[in-house]
Amino acid sequence: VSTQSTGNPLNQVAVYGYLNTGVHMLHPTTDSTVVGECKSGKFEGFDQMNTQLVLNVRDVVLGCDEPEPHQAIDGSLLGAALLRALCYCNVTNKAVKSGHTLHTRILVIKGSPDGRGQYMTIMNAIFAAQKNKIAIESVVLGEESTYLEQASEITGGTYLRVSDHSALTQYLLSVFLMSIEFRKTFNIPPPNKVDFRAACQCHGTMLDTGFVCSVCMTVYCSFRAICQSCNAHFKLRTAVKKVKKTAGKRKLENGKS
Amino acid sequence: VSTQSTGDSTAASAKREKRRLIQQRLSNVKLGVMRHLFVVLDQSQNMEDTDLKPCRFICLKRLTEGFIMEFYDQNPISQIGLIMGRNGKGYKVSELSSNINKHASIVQQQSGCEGQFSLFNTLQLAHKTLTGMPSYASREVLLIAGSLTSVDPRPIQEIITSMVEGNIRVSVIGLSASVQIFNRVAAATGGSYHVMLDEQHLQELLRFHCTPPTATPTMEPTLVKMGFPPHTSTGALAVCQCHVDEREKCELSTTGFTCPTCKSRYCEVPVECRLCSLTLVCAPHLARSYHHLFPLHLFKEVEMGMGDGRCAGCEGELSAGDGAVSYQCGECLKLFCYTCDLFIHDMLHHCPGCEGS
Repeated sequence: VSTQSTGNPLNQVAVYGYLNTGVHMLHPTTDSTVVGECKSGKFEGFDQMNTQLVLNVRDVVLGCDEPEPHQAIDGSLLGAALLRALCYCNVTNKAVKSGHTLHTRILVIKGSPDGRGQYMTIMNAIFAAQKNKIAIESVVLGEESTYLEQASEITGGTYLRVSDHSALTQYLLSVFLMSIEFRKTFNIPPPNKVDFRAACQCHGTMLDTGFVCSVCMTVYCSFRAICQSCNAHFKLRTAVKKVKKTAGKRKLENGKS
Repeated sequence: VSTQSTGDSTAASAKREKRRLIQQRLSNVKLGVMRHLFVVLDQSQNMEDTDLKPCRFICLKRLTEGFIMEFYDQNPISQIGLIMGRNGKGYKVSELSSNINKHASIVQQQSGCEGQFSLFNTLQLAHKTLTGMPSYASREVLLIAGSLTSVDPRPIQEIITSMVEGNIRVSVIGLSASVQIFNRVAAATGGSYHVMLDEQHLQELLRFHCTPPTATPTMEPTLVKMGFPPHTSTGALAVCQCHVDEREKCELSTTGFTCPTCKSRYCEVPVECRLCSLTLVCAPHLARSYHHLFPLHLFKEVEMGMGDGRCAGCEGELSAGDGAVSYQCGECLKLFCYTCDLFIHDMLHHCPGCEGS
């Protein structure tokens, strides 16, 4: 965060933290409680910012209680965090003076797995980002995330999976610090093939061909009589019987004989 | 119209207009998300009028290109075709397809306004193609007419009856004045008729037609077979089917989308496979239509009392005092400022407060 702010005095940074219970804005915050002197030789403004950030993260993590046994954890709230980040980007873009341009990017650092319930929220956030030319870049610490892969592909950002957590700072500084145009001149890991196939509603398996309900767009792997989501009734298409062939054959026999 | 405390009056009326448009989108109504739309453009002598700068036709061409982009953005699995009406006849310049760039370039190439507009001939041309389309998709015609007259070989009532029989919805945008016959065509077929006031209004009217209309009872729900082709960069060397007719652009390559059933190669999706007629799409294309099917409810206008609050979307300060309003979500009861409210309803279609709890 410090290096981003040093790069250009007009750079603005905002940090959001998210869990399965909620989304919290970590920086910039309205209430700063750090008053003590800075001990190391760092620039005072950055030191305050760093300490405040660490304190906020600690508060949020300690503040979340153990979940009740009957509450299912459906993955952390990536969708909600993206929505709030997009609102903030929108407001800062509107506040920019005419003549200046502000290039906005969202960097997501993700440790938890994908939650299926968040699909629609994340897709809508991706399309909103694409329309506003905001690139979504992602650093994934745990297992692969198909949502973030698709997000980076659609919005024009970069997706990176980091296996060695201790080297995280190095990854962040070398890959994500620069804006996207400059990155093309540097040697960065090439993007993987992104799987854009749909998953069927009943089993969750990826499909090559599927059946799509014309009313609500849900995807199924095989024909069924009623759509699960919208209760539309589908008619079974009957096969067309071929009657003409026999009449033609009979005619030929008559002609021959 | 007050100009003192609420600031300038045009901003306040723009706010009200936007909220009214959002309110018109009802929920729990079946929508025709898969659409086959013919855009009919008037190319008669009236289109050389200069009430839209530089002339009506050039302005309309520009707005139609923008409309095509926006239409495919909101309805990715739909198809558009283009018909021009000039010299008393209809000319189909572009077949129904999902190819955005082709349509945009064809619109750009059109030039020259001559003769008179014929309502019967242009609608009949659209009718011929649309009746061959499957019944689960909506069949629509959008007519943008600048002329006040029409030359027709037969009575208009005939074409109105055949449109109604073919379940085709005709909507008209008039550029000059209200014409009775357009009104009748639109009313009989279940479409809408608007007359534009100025260029910005025309743009808004075009935008209105990007949202899917309510489904007619004749549209049967069907399970449509679709293919989800993987994008390969190391496939077999092949020529893509989209450019096989054009000698300049046709080349061997290993990248592209491969149809799952007949293995033919395409550069872009969505597309209808030329060999096996399978509709090829990506999962994000289907996801783009979800926000029409599950729209976000309108937020309530709430007077801000004393004591400051922060907007739940952007963490900005909510102005307090007389006349200042903030917007409250009915489900999670969080407050939002005007900019966030507009952004949420226009682009995001999800409330950050509801999602975040």
